[in-house]
Amino acid sequence: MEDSKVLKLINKIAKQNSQSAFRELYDLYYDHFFRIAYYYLKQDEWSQEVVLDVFLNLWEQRNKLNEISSWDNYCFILLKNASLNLLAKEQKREHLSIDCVPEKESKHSSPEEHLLDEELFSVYEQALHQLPPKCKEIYLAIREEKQSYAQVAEQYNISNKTVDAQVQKATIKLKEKIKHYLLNKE
Amino acid sequence: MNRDPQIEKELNDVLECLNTCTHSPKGQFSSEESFAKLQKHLPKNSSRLLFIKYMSAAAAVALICLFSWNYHNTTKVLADITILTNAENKMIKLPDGTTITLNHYSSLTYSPSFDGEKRRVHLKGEAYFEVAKDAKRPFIVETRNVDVRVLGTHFNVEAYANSPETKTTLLEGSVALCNKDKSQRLVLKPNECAIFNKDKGQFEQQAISQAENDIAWCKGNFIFENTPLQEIARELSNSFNVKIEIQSEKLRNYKITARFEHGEKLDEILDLLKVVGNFTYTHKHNTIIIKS
Repeated sequence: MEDSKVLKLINKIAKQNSQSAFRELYDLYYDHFFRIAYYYLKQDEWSQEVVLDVFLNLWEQRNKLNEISSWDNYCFILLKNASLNLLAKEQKREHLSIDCVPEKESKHSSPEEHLLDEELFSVYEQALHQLPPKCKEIYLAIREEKQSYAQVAEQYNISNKTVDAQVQKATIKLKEKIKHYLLNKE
Repeated sequence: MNRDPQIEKELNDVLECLNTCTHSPKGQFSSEESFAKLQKHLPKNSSRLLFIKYMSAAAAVALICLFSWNYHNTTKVLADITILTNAENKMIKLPDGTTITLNHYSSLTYSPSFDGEKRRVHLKGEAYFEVAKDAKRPFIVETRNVDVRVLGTHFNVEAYANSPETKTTLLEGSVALCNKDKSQRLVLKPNECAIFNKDKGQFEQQAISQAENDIAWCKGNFIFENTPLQEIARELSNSFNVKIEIQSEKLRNYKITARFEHGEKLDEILDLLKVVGNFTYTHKHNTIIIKS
């Protein structure tokens, strides 16, 4: 299980100041963090800056990391705050806030409005992060980067059929989580 | 799960929207590339924060504290291990059973615990790896421009800092290579090598007849078979830590076959090569200049 591995790393960082465990945690979470920051910032440079700041912050409070009860939520909030702070600092906040901070009272009647919901985004992103790494990479290459099946098949040295199987597998998992979230929300 | 077409359609729409709301980092923003920036802000080892704190106290007290802390620290926290060579080869045995032969003027860094999901080492210079099989934990050799990923196999990596080329030669098994931004990937079969040129930013894959020749250095030998003088010079210059300059374009591509298997010195090797290649050489400071 992914969670127990993360907990083990966090314990090692908190108790032994282990930089190699920190590096592993970094490798596990960098892309995930970047995607969250980019959701708010829509800019590569800023996203990188925010993510590295968050990691540095985690390192600086490493001795308290094992006290955090919900690691994924905690990180999401750290990233969100850091991103919004940077936006405020860059004085772009007014320009972008409509996309970022949803109006709580809005009724979710159409898919477009679901998009405004950062909770939904967080469900999606965490579901993605929980997929097996290769499955996630292939899904994103096809659905997000709009690469062709043939391209991805060649890159991973697998057949078109396997690419399709991975995409389907990811799609089913993601839809399950999204559905669960939407149904329990009302 | 019930497959109400109405719900299915809505889910598909939601997912499609979500697919456009962010993206993964690429190139200079990738996790590998970004780590260097983060590392600048991390302490060299974890005793430093306390070190600074203690330094503000009286010098004598600070020194005592520093020593005692360092002692305490080294017994508890394991720093990365780096092994360096000068004009000698070194055999290294890693905790997982992998053996590595490190060529002259090279360095290998790894974490002593070596117990994560991946087995990761960092190489500068050249080394021959015999990686212990462990299908669950890939073994990764990081160099400045290329990462080599394997499960268990025998291969050679040449990645000296002064050369724009990184060469990986496979003797047994299979290895996967990628450049730093992961935009190029490549899988090698036995008796193939891949040369990554930093300036061109590209891999070049070649079949070779005698992969063993590329690890002749492990026994202190040099085996050149129809090898351009340019490449011979590069190997000699890495092994003997001198600069070698070839001043004629024609000479650089001149191909020579020669074997040196008795621990010959650089001058002995050059004296023989100059007869075959019809050139002269001179020493100037720490550089050897080859002319026709």
